[in-house]
Amino acid sequence: MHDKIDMDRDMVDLAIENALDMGAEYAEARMEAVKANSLILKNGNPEISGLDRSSGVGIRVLVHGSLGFASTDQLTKDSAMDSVEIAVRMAKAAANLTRERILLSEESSHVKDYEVSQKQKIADVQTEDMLDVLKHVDKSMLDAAPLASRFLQVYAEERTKYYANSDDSKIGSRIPRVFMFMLPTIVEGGQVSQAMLQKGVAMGWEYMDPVRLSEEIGHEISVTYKNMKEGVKPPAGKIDMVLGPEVVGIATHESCGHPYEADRISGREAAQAGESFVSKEMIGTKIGSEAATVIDDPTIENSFGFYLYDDEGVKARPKVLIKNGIINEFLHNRETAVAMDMGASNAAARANNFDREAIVRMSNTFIQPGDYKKDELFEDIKLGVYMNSFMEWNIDDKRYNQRYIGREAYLIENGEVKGAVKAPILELTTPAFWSAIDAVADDLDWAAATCGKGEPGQGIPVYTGGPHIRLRNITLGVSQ
Amino acid sequence: MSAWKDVPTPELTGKIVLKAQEMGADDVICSMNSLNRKQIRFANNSIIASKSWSEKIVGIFLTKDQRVVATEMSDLSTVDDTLRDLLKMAKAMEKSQSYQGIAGGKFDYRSSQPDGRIPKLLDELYDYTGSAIDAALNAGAKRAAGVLWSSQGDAYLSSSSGPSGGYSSADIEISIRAMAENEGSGHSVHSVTNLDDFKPEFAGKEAGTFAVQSQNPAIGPEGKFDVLFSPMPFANLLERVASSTSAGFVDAGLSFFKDKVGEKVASPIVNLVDDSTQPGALNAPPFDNEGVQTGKTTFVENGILKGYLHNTSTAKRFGVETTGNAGLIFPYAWTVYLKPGDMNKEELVSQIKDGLYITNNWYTRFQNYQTGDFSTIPRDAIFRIKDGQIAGSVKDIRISENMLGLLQRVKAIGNDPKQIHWWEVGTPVFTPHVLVEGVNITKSTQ
Repeated sequence: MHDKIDMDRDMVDLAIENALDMGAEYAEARMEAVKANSLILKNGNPEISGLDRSSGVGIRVLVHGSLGFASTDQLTKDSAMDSVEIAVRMAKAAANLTRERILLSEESSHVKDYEVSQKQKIADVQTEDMLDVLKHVDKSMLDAAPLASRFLQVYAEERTKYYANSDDSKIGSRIPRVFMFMLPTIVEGGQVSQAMLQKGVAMGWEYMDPVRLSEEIGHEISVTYKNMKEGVKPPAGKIDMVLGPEVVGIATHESCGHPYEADRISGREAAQAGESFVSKEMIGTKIGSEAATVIDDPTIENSFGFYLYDDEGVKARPKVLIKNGIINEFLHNRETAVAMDMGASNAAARANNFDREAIVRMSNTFIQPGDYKKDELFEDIKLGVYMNSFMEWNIDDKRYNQRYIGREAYLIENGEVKGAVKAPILELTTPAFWSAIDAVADDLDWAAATCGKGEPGQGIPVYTGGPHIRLRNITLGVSQ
Repeated sequence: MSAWKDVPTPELTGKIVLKAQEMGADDVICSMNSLNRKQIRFANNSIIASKSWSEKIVGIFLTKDQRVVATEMSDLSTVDDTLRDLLKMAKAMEKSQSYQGIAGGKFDYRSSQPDGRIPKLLDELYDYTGSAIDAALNAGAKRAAGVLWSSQGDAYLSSSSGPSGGYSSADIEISIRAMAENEGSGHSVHSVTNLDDFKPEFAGKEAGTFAVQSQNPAIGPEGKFDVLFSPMPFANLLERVASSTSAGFVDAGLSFFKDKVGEKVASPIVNLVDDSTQPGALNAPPFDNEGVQTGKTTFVENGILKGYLHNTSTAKRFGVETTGNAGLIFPYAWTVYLKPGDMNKEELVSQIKDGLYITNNWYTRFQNYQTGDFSTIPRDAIFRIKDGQIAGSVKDIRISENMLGLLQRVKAIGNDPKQIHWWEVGTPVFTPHVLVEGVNITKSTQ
């Protein structure tokens, strides 16, 4: 048990008390404070260094089955209580048009403080440290390929949070996160190629080892350059494919994680991120091959999507979304858990800041590694494509038609990985994707991403990941 | 200064600029945005959440010996410490070769006249929401989901180079998606700054009508088709066109207009303006983030790229004048306007022998920003057009295109401009219906 993380907890507790006094049957409040630094290096030039010292409190209430939320970035008692008042007032005003009363699942209460330890504290990071990392990475990119432009950004934050609700939960946390974004543009001989690269973890600045990062990023630029120079047209007709962890991660996030969000299934996000091809009744039905098992696990240490308690105070646990090809479990918050008769939430409620309501989100979503060695996946492929990373991607708003265009990709012939293949297009339906998987390797790698959802938008840190996998009998898409 | 919170709001930014200068800063810009917003969210014909935000954000941008730093903050008690931290940070930073100063002088700003009724609305917001839902259902839809927003803001800016000013804004908008039986769905949005113009039931009716008309969609075709875009999807594409016009995006490799000033980048009938003077525009500040007055900047004229959108630094580097589009690092468009043509929607449909009518899209992603290769996914009602007539609805298609190619193939522009601003279009865009020839359509291979 840690010491209590320092925040004005009395203000949060008082806000809940006042909301109940004003007629709320349930109330919760979340105070968050961010200390962050960032730096942009554009074409080698230090453009700007920034700092963020924001804080505020958000209050959510349930009044007669109607939900109200209000937030303020002015941490005074008066502002917080004004927010309580408007949240309750609006929830009451909505009562006539709240045709489906909202109920929240009953959950155990928790009183807990936790934090992620930092060997090099974010609070001690200096501008020089940020410049040093970006300059190292910038040089490694320049050494790897002829670049017309490069854009690099580093961001480091320490987020302190205190959450409490009228069910007696009181949870404090302090989570550091570091993040890098890079967009180099490779140009040579009239050809242009781009790579959008991201790195991110929930840990201290010790992650930002300039030497290791330079090697990793330099490698990405090298393979992208090689693909641009040497890549040939992808093969036509039915082929087999091996996908690397980056592609597996994005496809899993888009075509398993999102459609299994219970709020999408119930139609709550219909006018924004959309609904889902999956319905409540599809639990227990087959969606893919037996080789496919998908997990969403927020408890993985130092992962970008890490948390131990969600933003409704529910204790986090791994969720098995697909188990051996069968739809097993959706992602829930306390509202969808009741609406879908689940009994309890599985702790997928997240908000990206104090001024956002917690909604159903992924954390770290991945295909569970299997028994194959990576090399074994290639052995009996006569003609195929190995797609190790992607550029453009998208998926429709029911999560049924998806597409990924390869950045680093190679031809596979008679069990061997051969030369580069340029921009292969994997464009297929979600059931076709999950059914085509016939082998899963025993490796596992992650990519950091910022997942978008909600209105107003909430970019939230997640890991996408998985092992190498093999797909059988795929017809690649054709370009324009 | 010990009590920043006691400084009257209109004086705050000026005093923070003076304080930063006293502490040793060279160029300083301070902005203050106070924003109050309310939101009603609904789904399945029922309210799912009511929300309210109250924010007061101070932005400070300063330089010291050409080292550039910035922050945003909301706790005024920490202004002195923050300035100290910023100057310390500037000392550790290296010189920015791209920083070329901020705009000087005094400007004559347009006065702002926000509709004072909008911030006072509360119970009425629920009436508006109810009328939009009812209109969708009356049109034949079974379910409606969406969001209604009301916003009110006050903004102030002071610059150490002279400019200072303030303005207020207010707007109200609704986004509604209606679902009918048999996979029918339609979406409509409506955004205004004058409450008298707010007709949420029109949006509900349009969404509901599209939903009913698009029932029983067939799997769509693939290949090249003439496509009529309604304002919603074309606004989504034009927002990307406008961001490609930012000189900062050009520098960063995020623009398909790099090295194309003076070249033909679109069909000769395409005229695009960044126009913050458009009546009813949602994002129409009278000055940019340096305090330069905003106005009209034509960036595509008769299909020719006339120039980029600039702040003072990017303008000096490109050898031109600022266009009043700061963004202190990235210039950006305020309100995009596509000059209308003279055909109505029916006339545009009648021109299409074998094509599609697309009423919404999402998830526009680039394979390569610099070449402009991208794809985007039509959603909601998609209609097949044959021999100038609507001939059923389709689904499951993707537009896989190149942005420059698509702009070159604009064949006709409608006479019905509409302001589009919603979840998928963050910068307001005024656009009519637009007909594009030979649009590449793909779909899942299996």
